[in-house]
Amino acid sequence: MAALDELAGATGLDRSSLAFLEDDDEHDVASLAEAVRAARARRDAELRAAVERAFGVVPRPLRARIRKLLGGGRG
Amino acid sequence: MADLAALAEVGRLRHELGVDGDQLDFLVRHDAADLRALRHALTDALAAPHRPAFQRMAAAARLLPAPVTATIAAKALGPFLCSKVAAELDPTEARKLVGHLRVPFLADLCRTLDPRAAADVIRAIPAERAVAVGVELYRRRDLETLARFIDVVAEDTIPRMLDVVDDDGCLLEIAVAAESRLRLDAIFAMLPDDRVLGVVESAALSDQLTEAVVLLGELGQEQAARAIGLVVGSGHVLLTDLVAEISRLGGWDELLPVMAGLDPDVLATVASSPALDRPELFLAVARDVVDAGLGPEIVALVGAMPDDRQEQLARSLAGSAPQVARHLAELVETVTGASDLAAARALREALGP
Repeated sequence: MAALDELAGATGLDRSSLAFLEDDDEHDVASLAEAVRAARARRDAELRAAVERAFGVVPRPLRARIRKLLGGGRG
Repeated sequence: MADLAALAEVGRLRHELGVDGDQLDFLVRHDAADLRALRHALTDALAAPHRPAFQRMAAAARLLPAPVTATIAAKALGPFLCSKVAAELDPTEARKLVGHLRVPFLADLCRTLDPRAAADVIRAIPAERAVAVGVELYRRRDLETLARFIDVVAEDTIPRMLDVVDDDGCLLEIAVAAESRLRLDAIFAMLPDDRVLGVVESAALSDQLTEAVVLLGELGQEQAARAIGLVVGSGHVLLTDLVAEISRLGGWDELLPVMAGLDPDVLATVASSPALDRPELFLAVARDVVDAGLGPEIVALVGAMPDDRQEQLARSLAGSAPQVARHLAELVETVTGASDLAAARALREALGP
């Protein structure tokens, strides 16, 4: 099922661990894949925003050090 | 009897993915264990790309005094991000930090904290603080979050939390949503009889008997038998409702073995439940018993009934579902001494050669 491949790609999971979904409607599985992609995108955005807010609060003398530690702070 | 366990898992998955509506409803037909494995794998997969950053943030937290780190956490990072970093903290560091974070913030943080990933951190939190967060979650009626932490909080916090969760209906919801069956059993062992009975009574009053039956199926033998014994002692109305719901859910395969181990007097009361006189309910029992091969258990239950009732049920079953009756008769024949039961004789007579 193409949607299972889509879900495996969206989750990073091995397709074999999703085999129990083989008999489900393809549209439903695709919908789950979409939900996973959306969750991932939200978390990425939330993480980026939170890290940028953090740099605004960290005392100026420490910012360069913190930014270096975080590897640029972009999740 | 996996439907409600699967429903609970789909609810947790919705929470994890931030999904509303019926988008994931199709998953309820699957085994709860498969859904749980999927959810755990998804949680890990969603966190994996960011874990290096969370680990660096956790490392950076050690460079600053705890009050400063807590201020940054609360004012800049927010509860969601903090919940991800928390899982990477050294438990000793976490213990220092929680003292500087306000309880409402910690409660917000718990909503997105992965208890599995942060188990060591959670257990390191001082009991007073953990209970305070639990009180706040309960005040908000955020029972789903409370349930997620039942599995990992230090056991000495649980009796205090049970005092806080004073509503038996809420306790039922928490118990059904909790993942760890071992911990659930330990919790029920801590409850006095009136609260255990209160959970089932509350379920009956609020149309949540399905949840109560699933809960009974999840408890260990001893606690399930205790709960059923308390229901029996409370009178026929609650017992009748419970028996009817077990039949509706097809839960006899899980609960009949529990009942078969009850005190004979208690089992006799279960066997005398008017609900079992209803042909469709007894048929449900018979089907579950045949499917699960519960010969000794059905013999114990039916054997606790008066002979005339046994005969009536046997004839009714043979007439309405001869195939099931035949399989049941064959199963009963394998149990030593069972062929002398009035029901067994009546089945043989009704089914013929």
